[in-house]
Amino acid sequence: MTAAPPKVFINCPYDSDYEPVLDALVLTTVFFGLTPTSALTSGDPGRARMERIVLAIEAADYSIHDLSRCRGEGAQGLTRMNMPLELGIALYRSHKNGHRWMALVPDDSPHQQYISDLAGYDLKVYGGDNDRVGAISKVASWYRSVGPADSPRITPRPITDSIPLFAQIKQHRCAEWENEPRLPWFELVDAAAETVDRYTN
Amino acid sequence: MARIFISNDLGDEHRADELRSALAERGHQALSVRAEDQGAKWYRQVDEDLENSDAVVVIVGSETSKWQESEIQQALEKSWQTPDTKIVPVMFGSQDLPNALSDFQAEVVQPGTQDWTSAVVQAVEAPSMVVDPYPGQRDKQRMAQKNSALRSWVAEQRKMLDQ
Repeated sequence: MTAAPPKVFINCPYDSDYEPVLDALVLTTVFFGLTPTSALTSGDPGRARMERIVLAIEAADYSIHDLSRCRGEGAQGLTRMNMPLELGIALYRSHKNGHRWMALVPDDSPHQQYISDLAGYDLKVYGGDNDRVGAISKVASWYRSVGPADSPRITPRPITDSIPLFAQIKQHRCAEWENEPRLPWFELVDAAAETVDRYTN
Repeated sequence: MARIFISNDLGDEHRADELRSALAERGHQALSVRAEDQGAKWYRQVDEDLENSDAVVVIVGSETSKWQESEIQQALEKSWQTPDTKIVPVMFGSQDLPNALSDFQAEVVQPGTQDWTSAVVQAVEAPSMVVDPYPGQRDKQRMAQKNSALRSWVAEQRKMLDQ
């Protein structure tokens, strides 16, 4: 069994509007030589989803949490609470055994009102769904600062340059998956790894 | 006159004070958020000060607090957005330069050095060197090694899912 490089649990929305940012987070993580995992990482289907998420966070050295969708949506004004819940698990873990986490919030987010207990933590503000470059920069500076000591020294430039290639590889793989709108998680991670392979060769 | 942001941990407050005086003597303005200001508004103040600074001096301590980690992250982002922003890490003794600062030329202060601030002021005043945004050969090799381990692991996971 091959040991995966240190894992990063990515806790974020999975809707199509957010997809460019999700791609950016996955690609940046792979550029830094880390393993992206998420709630979409399949695991044992016999376990409840929440239990699988807890195990995935438990197995990760790092986690990234995007609180982009924490606002009322639809006719009933409901808020998605999964992301703050998963952030809470990571925060607890960070106090127990050194897990490192970062949280992204869009610049129009009222997080200071709806989750005021996080005051005093450095939530990284970026432009939201349309700000892929901002997300890459925030995550890259965080990896440079808290990532493993043997991480490659990367700036955002090669990552942003590689986005068109990543998109092309993803498109090709989607076609192989009979035009599934979304690639399965491991396929997405491998597409990012293929992008890095081509970049380094 | 240049505006210099000083990043330091609580334990290095005395060094930051020395540097502030040395910079002021040369007509520069030192910006830094003092320890007693730390709190919810602190990050906003750091944002503002970094935005307005021409250079950043990072006094690297034996440990890095979450406050200083955040300052270093923001300084890095500033250097990526504005490549002529000068970042000068200052190290006392023989500790390793943190990965986050390894793109920049550090000032290493040997034990017993009395006037360490002159060299730092000089480094701040020297013309800035733009950092190459692309990884060198050694970093590319590291990326390739880690990527190969990742792809092997992913292949195993996919195989397990197929079974």
